[in-house]
Amino acid sequence: MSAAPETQQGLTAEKLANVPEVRDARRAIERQLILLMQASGALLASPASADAMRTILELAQHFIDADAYAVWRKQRPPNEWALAASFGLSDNYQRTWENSEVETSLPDEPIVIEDVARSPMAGPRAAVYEREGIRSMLMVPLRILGGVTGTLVFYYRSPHQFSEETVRIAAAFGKLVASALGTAELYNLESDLRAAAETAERRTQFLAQASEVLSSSLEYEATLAAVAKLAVPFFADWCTVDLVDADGNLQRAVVQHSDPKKLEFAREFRGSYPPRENDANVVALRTGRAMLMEEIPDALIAERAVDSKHLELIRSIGLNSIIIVPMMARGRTLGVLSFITAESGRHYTEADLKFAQELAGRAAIAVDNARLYRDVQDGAQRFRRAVVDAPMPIMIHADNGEVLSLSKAWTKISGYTHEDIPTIEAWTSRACRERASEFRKVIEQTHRLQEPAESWEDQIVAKDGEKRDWLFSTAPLGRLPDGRRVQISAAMDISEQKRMQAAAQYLAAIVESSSDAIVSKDLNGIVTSWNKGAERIFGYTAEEMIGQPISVLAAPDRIDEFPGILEQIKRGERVGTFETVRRTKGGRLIEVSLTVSPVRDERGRIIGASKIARDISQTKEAERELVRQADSLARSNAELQQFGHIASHDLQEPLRNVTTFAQLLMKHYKDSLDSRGQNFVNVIVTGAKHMTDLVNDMLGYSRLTSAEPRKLAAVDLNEAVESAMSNLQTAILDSAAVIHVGRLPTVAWDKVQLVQVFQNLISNAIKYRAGHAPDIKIGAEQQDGQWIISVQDNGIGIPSEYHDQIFRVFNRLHGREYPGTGIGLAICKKIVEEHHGRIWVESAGSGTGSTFRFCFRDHE
Amino acid sequence: METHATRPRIAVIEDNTGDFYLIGAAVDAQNLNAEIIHFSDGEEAIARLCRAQSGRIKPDLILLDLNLPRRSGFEVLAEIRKQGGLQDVPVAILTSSRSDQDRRNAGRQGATRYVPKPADLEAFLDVVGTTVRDLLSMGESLSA
Repeated sequence: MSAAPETQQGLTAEKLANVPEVRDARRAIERQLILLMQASGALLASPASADAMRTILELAQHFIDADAYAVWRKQRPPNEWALAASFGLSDNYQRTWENSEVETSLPDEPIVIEDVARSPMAGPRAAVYEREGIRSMLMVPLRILGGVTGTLVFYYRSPHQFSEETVRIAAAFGKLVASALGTAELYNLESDLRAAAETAERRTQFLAQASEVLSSSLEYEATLAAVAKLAVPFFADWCTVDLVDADGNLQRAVVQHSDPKKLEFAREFRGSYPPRENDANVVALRTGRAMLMEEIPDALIAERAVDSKHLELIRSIGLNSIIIVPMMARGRTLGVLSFITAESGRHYTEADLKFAQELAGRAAIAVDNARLYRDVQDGAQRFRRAVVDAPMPIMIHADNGEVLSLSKAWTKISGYTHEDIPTIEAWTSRACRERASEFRKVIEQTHRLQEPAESWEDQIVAKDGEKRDWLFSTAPLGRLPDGRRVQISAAMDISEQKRMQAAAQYLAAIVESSSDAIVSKDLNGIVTSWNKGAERIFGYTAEEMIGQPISVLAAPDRIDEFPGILEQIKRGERVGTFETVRRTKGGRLIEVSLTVSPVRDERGRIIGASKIARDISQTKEAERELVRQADSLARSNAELQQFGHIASHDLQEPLRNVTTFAQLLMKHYKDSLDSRGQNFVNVIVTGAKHMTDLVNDMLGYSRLTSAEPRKLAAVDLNEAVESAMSNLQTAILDSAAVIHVGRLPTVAWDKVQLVQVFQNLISNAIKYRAGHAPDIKIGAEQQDGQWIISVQDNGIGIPSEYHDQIFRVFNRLHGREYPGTGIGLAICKKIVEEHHGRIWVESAGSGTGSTFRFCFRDHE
Repeated sequence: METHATRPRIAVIEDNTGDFYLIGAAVDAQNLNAEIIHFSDGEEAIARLCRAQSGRIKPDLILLDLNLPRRSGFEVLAEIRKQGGLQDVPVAILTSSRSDQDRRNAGRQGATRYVPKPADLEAFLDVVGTTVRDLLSMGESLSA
């Protein structure tokens, strides 16, 4: 005994420590501590729940001796306790314990039940304990993660007394276990969370993949099938897609299972048992609500089975759980997506439903897009076909100049096929020519402004070179998928219209510009059109006359004409041309020449009359004036002729008296006259004789314009020349003249006058000879349908300054050296001109001879 | 009552005194011892040759000018030829006219000859004289 303080009982710690019981107890405690430490180490080392349980039970055996051990865990639903692990209990020990049998809250302290039969707590399970032979229990509540959700139970098959130490150790151990279980749970939770995260990750990947598949092509039946293949067995054992058809009914589009045999089965099944209106997916379609069945009770299947065979078949599928989601996009339900688990044993959860809805949404949009695109394509297709078949020229082209579509009408009228004009460039250069750049400008502007352009007329050159008038219009038409802007250009061939328009305008201009009155009226005689000529002639303007009856123009005594004219018109007869009188606005009466014709419509019905009136007042006045003048002229001619005739006639006698009595004077009283007197008488005689010649010639000349109708007969000119020559016989012989006569034609003329002409010309040729015998050539030649007769001599010739005047009456270039009155050529001229001919002379001048020519139109 | 004297009787219907003188001279120059009865206008001639009830003269030859006052030569000719007794009396138209028309008319109306009066003295005497002689002898042979 040393200096250590002494206790009441006189024991020091040291001493105590050496007490065998204390030593044993300390060793036991040390041993326990080591075990605890080892236990905690072991437990902490193996956090997984299953391992934890095993370790717990093993450790429990180390700590406390008992007949059986168990760990109980509280189940969340359905709020009952279940045996998580046990050792030493028989197999048929009841492994669950309804919560209602146990108080809801357990203390933290271990519960000692030394006699099961007498414990109120164990009461409800007394039978169970008795069956198992359990007499005593030590229940250690396990506070796991803040809640007493477990118990560690030590079972004794014989009554047992529990020491404080045991209870303490049990409690300590219990805390350890609780901690371990809590850790394990955390670990599991973490694993679960990780698994969930991984699942979510996988699902997101799946959705991405599915979206890719869905958007990879517009063939949505194929893409849906591909997505179903992806989903099976990733998400489901069975996957079906039903799509709404045009009638609003569901049609099965896709069925997928990893086993092809099962697929075949499914098809046969569907064939035998067609879908019904109250099928779950039809209901989902109609209600638009998704459906999740985590488990499919057999009762439900039985209820829906049509017959026992049906029921058997359904059961054979082994349905576990089902998700049905409607595929909705843009407010419309396009179909139904169904996921079914069977063999995999999976049960769907809310999370799975959300996933399914997400997938369904994407599938729906893909289908909707594809359909929209297809519709657009179809639409585009129909549109293109409509364009091609359109009854007018239409061209669809892109902003890079490519011509996308050309209607048949374009080709038919212009001759250019699509091959001929694959670009706007080709079209404009071939068809628009000089207007090409203008045309292209409009197109470019329309592309740029995206506004329709104002219609314009242009002339195009067709493939065969023909020019046609087209009325163009062009407007923007959206974009192609590749981004190019599209334009639609249409044209109307207005060539015919323009022609008719031009013709109509021309006709209208003719009517307007006509100096005649051109007026139209309806079948009641009301004026419907009134041209400028009518305004001018009648004085009324178009405004004044249109709508008025045509009888406004009637002259007082002609009013009866109008009904008669209308009647004839109604019968389809043309009236006119007749002359009548009308009254102008000023009241003046004018003479008009009228023609009235019926006007018919395109069906040939008479709808009115058209009247052409010509103001003939002036014409008529002119006619009357002409008549007056002609009369006056005739009268004066007659008078002149008479005068000429009478004058010459009446002059003859006194002239003859002078001549003859002057001669008588010379004859009988020559001796009474001296030579000068005789001279005087000679001069009287000469003068009188000359005057007689003049008077005779005047007489002859005046007779040439006789009022008597000329006798035209076929005259052989050669004969006429013969006659003339025989009349000049003496002169010809005396002058030893030689006359050559060529072949002369036979013409219709007055023979006597023709003879006269030749006689005068030949006589002149002889008379005006140049000192040698006259040589005369008479010939004829034809020129431009005219006969030109020529009489050529070798006489004295005529200087050119006298070529015109020699044809004048009594004109002479010489004095008494050449006899004659100078009437001969005037007579020739008169005769020839009376026959509408011409006479002239060709002569180079003095001493060169002359050629007289006369021409006339053959009267035949 | 018709008297046929040995002297041939020539009726000259001519208003121009100059021409009448020449005609007389021409007849004289023929030595026919003819009696000349002168009428200086057509009216008088018709009256005495055709209409007169008594004292009607029947000449052996009628020389007739066309250019007469009051009645033209053609009118006289017509009357002469209408007259029963004068139809076979030769009538020579002596005229200034050169008109073919007149010539034709004269022929149509029964003139025996158509003689344009020459302007020349000698030609006048010659032509007229010859005509008178020819026609008188023609008349004689007819009546013989």
